[in-house]
Amino acid sequence: MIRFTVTVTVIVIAGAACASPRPFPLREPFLVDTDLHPVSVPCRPDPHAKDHRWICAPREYVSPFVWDQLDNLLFARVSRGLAVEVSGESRDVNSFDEVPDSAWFTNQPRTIIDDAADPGAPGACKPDELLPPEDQVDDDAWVIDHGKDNGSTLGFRIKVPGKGTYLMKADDEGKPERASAASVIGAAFYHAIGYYTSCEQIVVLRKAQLKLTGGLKVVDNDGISHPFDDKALDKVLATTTQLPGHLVRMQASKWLPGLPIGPFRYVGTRPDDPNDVIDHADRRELRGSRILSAWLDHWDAREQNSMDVWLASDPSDKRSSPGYVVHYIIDTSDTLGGVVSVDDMSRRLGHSYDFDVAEIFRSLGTFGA
Amino acid sequence: MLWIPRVLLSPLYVANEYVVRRPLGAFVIHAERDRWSDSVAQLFTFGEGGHNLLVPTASFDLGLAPSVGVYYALGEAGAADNRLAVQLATWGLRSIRASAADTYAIDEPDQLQARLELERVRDHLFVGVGPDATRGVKSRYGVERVEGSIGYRRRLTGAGWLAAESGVRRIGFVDGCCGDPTLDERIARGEVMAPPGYRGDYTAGFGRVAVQLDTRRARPAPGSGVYLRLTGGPSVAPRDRAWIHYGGVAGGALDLTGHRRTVELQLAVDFVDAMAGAVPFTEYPTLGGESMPGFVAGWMTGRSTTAAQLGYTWPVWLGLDARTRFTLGNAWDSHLAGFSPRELRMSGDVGFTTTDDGDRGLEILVGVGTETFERGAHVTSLRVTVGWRPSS
Repeated sequence: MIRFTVTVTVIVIAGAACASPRPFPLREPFLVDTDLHPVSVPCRPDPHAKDHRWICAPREYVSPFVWDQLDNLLFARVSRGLAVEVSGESRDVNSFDEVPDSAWFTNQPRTIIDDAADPGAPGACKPDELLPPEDQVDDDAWVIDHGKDNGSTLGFRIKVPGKGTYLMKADDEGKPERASAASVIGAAFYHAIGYYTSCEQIVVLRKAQLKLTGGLKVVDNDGISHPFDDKALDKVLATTTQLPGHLVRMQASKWLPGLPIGPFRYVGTRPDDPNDVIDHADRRELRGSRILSAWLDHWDAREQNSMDVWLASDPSDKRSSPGYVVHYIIDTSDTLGGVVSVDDMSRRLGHSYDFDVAEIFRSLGTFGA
Repeated sequence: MLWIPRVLLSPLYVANEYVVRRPLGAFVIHAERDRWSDSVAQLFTFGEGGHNLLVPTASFDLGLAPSVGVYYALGEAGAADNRLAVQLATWGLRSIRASAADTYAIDEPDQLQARLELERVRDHLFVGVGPDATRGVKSRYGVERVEGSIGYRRRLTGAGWLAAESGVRRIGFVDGCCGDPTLDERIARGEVMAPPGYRGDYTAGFGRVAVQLDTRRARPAPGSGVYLRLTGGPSVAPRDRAWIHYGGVAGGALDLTGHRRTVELQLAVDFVDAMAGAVPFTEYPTLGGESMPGFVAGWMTGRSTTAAQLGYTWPVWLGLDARTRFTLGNAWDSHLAGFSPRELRMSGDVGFTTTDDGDRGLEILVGVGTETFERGAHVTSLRVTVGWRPSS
């Protein structure tokens, strides 16, 4: 009896191991992910609203700058090592072994060459989003309604009649044209590959076309509030690239549509987004962005340089449900040779991590060769 | 089969994830959102303008008592150009060190400094005087030292500087401790002779002048250059005792790539001469520590010392250099009497050091030191040090 039981068990196990591959599904390839379908999110009181209104969008994720660095450099790695994590194939692929169009990525036959056919509209910019040259703008036409809070780059936000809202960012002092050019070129590459990016463009302007709203405040990196007045504006304009004729060159980022809800993470999912069901670490487009980042030397591709926005089906109320989340790559100003103030760090950018144990021991063992 | 290593590592995983990572993450995130800190570096600064710096310190030097402590610095202390720095380090009653320095910048190159140091250390090493010191008589003695001074320092071109200092030093002897026989025990057993001035507490006034001419430039400039440092100064103690220290270091550095892969060769000599009476051995030049890193500080003691060092330094990370050094040297009688190449010792070390231009920082070092060539040059010292490198 025992022999019979063992024999049957072995046959059953062997039979299971020899099962034929699953048949190819008899349906259309999965070309468009359902994460572009509107979903509803439970409503809650808006903590930022003074009129006790409700918000029916995913919660804002505030990315911790310091902990993000520490965790990714050390603690998360140790955890993954101790958990003996192994990575498999990407999970968001269809039967063509390609990623479908989704809230992360769009397979469109758009290329830099296509964009070159309309040289005035780089990257994700639509022709009507391009800002006019300075000689076609009236004095006081662009209204500054907000300074640029914290961050390493100076700037301000403007409202342009007929165009919308743009964030104006200065080039780094002493590095004329670099950051603005890198932003536009980097965003164009990401857009051409298929990622969602903001519309980035270079603008030349004169101070007179700006109108400063009174009483503006900005918060610096230390959390201290300062007035954003004419003096502060002069400082921004003096920092950026100077051009003949009292003109300055800046970078203009079109304000993203919808409700910003913070960066996306490179691991896990956004728990209150019903459409977000695949671990970001298993998303092929995010894995692939590593290659693109390496190619563009986009060493600052941390999560803080991404942004999720909630696009409500009702455009008149961006805090409402239903809607869906779109995931953007933003701020590519550190591509193509960006440097930081610490020389030793600048030399390693694009070649190693901020804290790279393997690199340390390689340098030690090779005597710095 | 992954479940096997996962099960085996699960205690470590749980400890890392739930004892370290998550609580620390919650703490750092909370600190950041409440703006306790906007960067890792700022975790240790506080107060208006970030003028207060408080850093915990710790050091371990194999063969000596470890220490833990704090370093506190206050910028704009009472005046815009005044800076106060305080260091405290201790390992119980075995080792207590405290120092305070108030530095006032008169103008860009000139500064005045008032300094006070207190020390009570019971594990000073004594292995003899002169080139034949041997670990066979290794012993410990204790010293209480109180020293105060005022000084002037002027920055010269390049990394050069000129300094003058005058002060008073009080030396008292206390019992040694910590494993090895005490020097008193060795003397009582007739194993060593009492070194000059041992157990004779004294107070001495001293003056010191030092000048460094240095063509090396600060980072990120290449590290090539030559330097010469000369020091000298008299000390006067009661009962008609007086002596004079003098010495110097000459060296050159060659940056092989222009990116701080630097070969450095230096020669150092130090002397102390009696002007009246006997010189206490605690005033003798010593080798060990920075000068011959394979030995702990004070291993070699004599009326004069020489050390020739060949080193190579290269960057391995942001703000961190690796460094390896080979040193030949020893302690001698007056004016290098008894010097012989066969009486030289070797020291070799390799380690990491932070690259701040100041003289403080983190150091991790492993080194060995040998007997003299005459005695076979076998390894007689192993040095392992990890921790805070205090200001000199």
